Parts: sequence; C-alpha cells; structure tokens
Amino acid sequence: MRKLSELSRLFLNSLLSENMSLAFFLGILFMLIESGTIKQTAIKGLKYMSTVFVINVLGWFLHTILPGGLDPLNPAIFFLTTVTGITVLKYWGELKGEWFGLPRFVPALGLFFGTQLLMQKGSYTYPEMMTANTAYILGGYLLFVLIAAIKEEIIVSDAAPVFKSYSTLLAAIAMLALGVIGIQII
Amino acid sequence: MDKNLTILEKVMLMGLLPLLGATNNLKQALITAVSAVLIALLIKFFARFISEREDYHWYLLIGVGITLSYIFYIAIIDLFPNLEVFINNYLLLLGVTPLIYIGASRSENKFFSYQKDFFILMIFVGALLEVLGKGTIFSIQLTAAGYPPLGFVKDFPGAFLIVSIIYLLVELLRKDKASLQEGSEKIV
Repeated sequence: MRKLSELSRLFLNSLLSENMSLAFFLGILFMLIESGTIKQTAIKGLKYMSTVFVINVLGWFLHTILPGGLDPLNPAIFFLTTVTGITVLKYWGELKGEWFGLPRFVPALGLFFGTQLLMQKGSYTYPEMMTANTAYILGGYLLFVLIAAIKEEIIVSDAAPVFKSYSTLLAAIAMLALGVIGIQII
Repeated sequence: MDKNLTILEKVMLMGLLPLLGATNNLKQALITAVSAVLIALLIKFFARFISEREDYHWYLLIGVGITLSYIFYIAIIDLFPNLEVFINNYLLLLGVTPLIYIGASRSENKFFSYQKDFFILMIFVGALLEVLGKGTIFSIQLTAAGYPPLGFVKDFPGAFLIVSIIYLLVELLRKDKASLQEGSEKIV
C-alpha cells in the first residue's frame, strides 16, 4: 500500500510539478513550432508521444543492462534510440521538410534525447520508470494539445500583430507553469 | 508564426532550451553560452567536410554535437571543479539544441550574427533572472538577503515569463514593422 502511494506521488509529480516540458523545458520548442490545429495536433501528438514512450523504455533497458563502468556510453545509447525514434516517425510521414535550413527533426531532438537523460538521472526501478514515463508522456501530450489550442486562439484573435507571436504563447505557457506550481502547493 | 522572423527571434527559438534552462544565474549562463558558441564553431568546421546533406549526414553531425557537449561537460568539471555547481544538464543538452547546427545549414549564412545574438541573450537573461529571482549578481548580494525583487522568477515559470517579455520587446523594437504586419496577415 505504501509502495502504491509512492508511485502515485511520482505519477502526479511527473505529470504536474515535474512535467518534462514545463519544469525541464524538454520539447517546448518542438511543441511551439509543430502544433497546428487542435485536431491535427491531437493525432500528431499520439504519434510523437507513443514514440517517445517506447524509446524511453528502450533507452532505460539498454542503460540498465550496461555495466556500471560503461556509464559514459549512455549518451551514445540515447543518441541511437533517438535516431531510431526519428526513423519511426519519418516512416509515419512526420518530421519531413526543413525548418530555417535545418532538417525538421532537429527541433525534436531535445524531446527524444532529453527525456531519456531525465529518466537516467532519476535512477528509477522498472515500476518507477514506467510510472514516470507514462506521466511524462501524458503531461507532454496534454501540453502539446493545449499549446495548439492557445496558438489557434492567438491566431484568430483581434490582437495587434505584435502580440500574434511566440511571445504571447510563451507568456501563456508561463501562466500554465504558475498554475502547476499552485497545484503543487495545494 | 514562423514567417518574417529576424535573426534575434530565430535565435530565441533555436536556442530556447539553454535560454530557459541554463540561465539560473549569470555564471551558469556565461559558461553555457561560451560552450555553445565553441561547439557551434566546431560543428561548422566539421560540416565543411560533408558536401551532401542527406539524413545520415545530419545524424553524423548530431552525433558529433552530442559528443562535443559531453566532452565540454566532463572537461569543465575536471578542469574547473569549483564551477561544477554552475553546470547542469542543459550543458549536456547543447548537443540537441538546433542553434549549434546553424553553421551546417545551407540557407542560413549569418553564422556569426546568430552566435553573437545568442551570447548576448544568454548573458542578459542570466543576469535578469539572477537579479530578479535572487537579488544577486555574480553571487554578490544586491538586495536584503532573502528579499529578492521577484522571487518566483527563479523557478521555471519565471524563465518562461522573462523569455516571453524579451521576445515581446524584440518584436516591439524591430525596425521592419511592415513585414511583421504582412507576416501576421499571412497567419490569419
């Protein structure tokens, strides 16, 4: 019973106050630029977040079976799993084209590589890893759709052009982050 | 929203991860900014040997970028142990920051402008967050201890807020207001 309570707390923390995108900024850039209409983003988000979930599990397994002395190889493992994730998404027809002269997958690297690094820093056991991973993915997905909704509102609003920019979107995310801290306090 | 962006606005987007995560204080921002510029220069150098730009060439460059950021992370801790407290995972994550690959891009040819703007921004955001969130600068106490001007800024919402305010200021101060208008009309 005590264990369940600890896992519940880990789940809630990973979902809210330690949300991978709000508290650790992982994937924020990707969410800002990749979010489209709510419907598109909801579908796209499922593809991206399920891929991140799988590569996080894969990365965790690989770095767990690696002998302790070979820890410096962890970034190489995470890089390989990241490339695997990008390949899967490209197969699904995502991350194609360019963004300011760089391949479209470059802004997504932070989300893929960073979450695995975050998992490793947590030194989680298998149940803890699955709990935290599920919460990160769920939190990330909700935020992705929420950002798309805010972006849509900004675009159709009557505000001056200067406010129809990423500054307003970032300010809205700051308010969300403040709300998350408020929930943590409660 | 990606239309008609100035270099400074692109820098804020491409370098968003270190800008938000590695600016808790001025020293941390300075170390990360210097590392990022050096890694970007090395990536630009390596990119000269790659004439094609297929996906696997980019993977190779990204592998180099991650390796370099890891080397910088380890080297700073080993060579300057007293700086360890000013280093966090965002130094390691420089390898996955789009800005350091701008030198390998075929269409963006103002490499040094990007790096200069990023360096200035990092210092500015780092200084602002340290002064407002902790009431210190370079760890020197400026306000009464325990009474920072805006305490909440030292947490993650503060980072978002400060970066959004700076982004807004950049938008307000841009010279080509007409193109901003034009770009916004395209969005709608």
